[in-house]
Amino acid sequence: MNTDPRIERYLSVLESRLKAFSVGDRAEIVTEIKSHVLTALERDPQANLDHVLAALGEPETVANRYLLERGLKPGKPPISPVVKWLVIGFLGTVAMVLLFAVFLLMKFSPMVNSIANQEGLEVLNELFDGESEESGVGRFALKGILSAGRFNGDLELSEQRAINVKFTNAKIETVKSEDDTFAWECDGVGAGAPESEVRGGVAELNLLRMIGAKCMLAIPKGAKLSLDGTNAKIDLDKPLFNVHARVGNGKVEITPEDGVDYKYELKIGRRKKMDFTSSEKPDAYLLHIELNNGRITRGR
Amino acid sequence: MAGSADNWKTQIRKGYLELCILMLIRRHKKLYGFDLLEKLAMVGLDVKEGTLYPLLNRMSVDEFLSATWETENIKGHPRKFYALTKEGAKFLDEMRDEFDGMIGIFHQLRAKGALS
Repeated sequence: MNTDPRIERYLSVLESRLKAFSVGDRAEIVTEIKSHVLTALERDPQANLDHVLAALGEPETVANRYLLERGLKPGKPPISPVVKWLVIGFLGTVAMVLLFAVFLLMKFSPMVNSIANQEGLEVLNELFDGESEESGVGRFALKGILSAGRFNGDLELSEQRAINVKFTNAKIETVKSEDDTFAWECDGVGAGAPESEVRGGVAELNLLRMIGAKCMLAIPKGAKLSLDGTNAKIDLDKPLFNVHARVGNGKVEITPEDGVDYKYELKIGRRKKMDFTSSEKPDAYLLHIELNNGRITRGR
Repeated sequence: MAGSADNWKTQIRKGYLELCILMLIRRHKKLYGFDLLEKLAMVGLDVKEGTLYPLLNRMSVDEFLSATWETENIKGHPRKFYALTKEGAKFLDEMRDEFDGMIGIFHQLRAKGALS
């Protein structure tokens, strides 16, 4: 006996949603439901098949009831056509946006372009500003929010010969300046470039707006260098100047110049560091270093 | 609030429906799904087909019901007849006693005016 394709379709969906059951169980359920439909049509020849199937409920819902009765996890309810089209529309929109993004990238390619004659860089077709500074050292800025690159500059020392350097996180190396100029060369990333000025006779270098500044400081002979910051690694290489450093955490390495006298005032926390031989000569350079935590070592 | 009431009705109706199914099958010795639906409707219990068949399936798995496929005539299609097992009969007795007790409590409370 041929069964109506609508019944077969219904039973096929029902069977497909009962995968958690054994083959035998599935067959038994499907046969029983089919028997129910045929009995309903047999008892009332005027009955409409669609109504009989509708009275049973959606095959997915019936399958879920079987699963729930047996303590099994029900499948997802059937997706209505409206939801289906909404999902398709959303995915289509996402695909369009992605295509547009790819188009923009292709239009702005190459992503990074070196402009040799201007000593600069173009990124994403000038979306980012690459420029060159007078010193010949490149600077790179992103819409004025973030700067990265190398910054250098210098200040003439006044009679006070005082230099004040402020920082948050920095790696500082000092070298001897050949003349009476305090000069610096810093690499790093930050919200701005280093700021420098002579205020009250003190040459000030402010690195507070830089993250992880890495600076080489050229210090004139006999100057008074003040270092004030939170975290630092400081290399004092053969200093011919006085140092007053106050740092939260860090490491300071001192490499004394041969034949030069130094007066050491070294403190880590509350503990004085005494293993450096201090000179009491009046012309000895004073190296006053205070660390909250860290190490002070002798370089080679 | 309406949701809580609906949930309570669903829960109590489910237990009550199992009791009625077992009682009807005991009375008629054996019944198949369509027959059962008609007999439930006759006593005023309208049960959806999509609810009854999964329930019968679970009660068979719990071994309260046994099932046999029978064909009434050569041209007819097979029908799944359900009968009470020994376990089912015992379960039905327990259910009936419990339900009688509950009804008794309900009537007592109602007589005392706890319920209007």
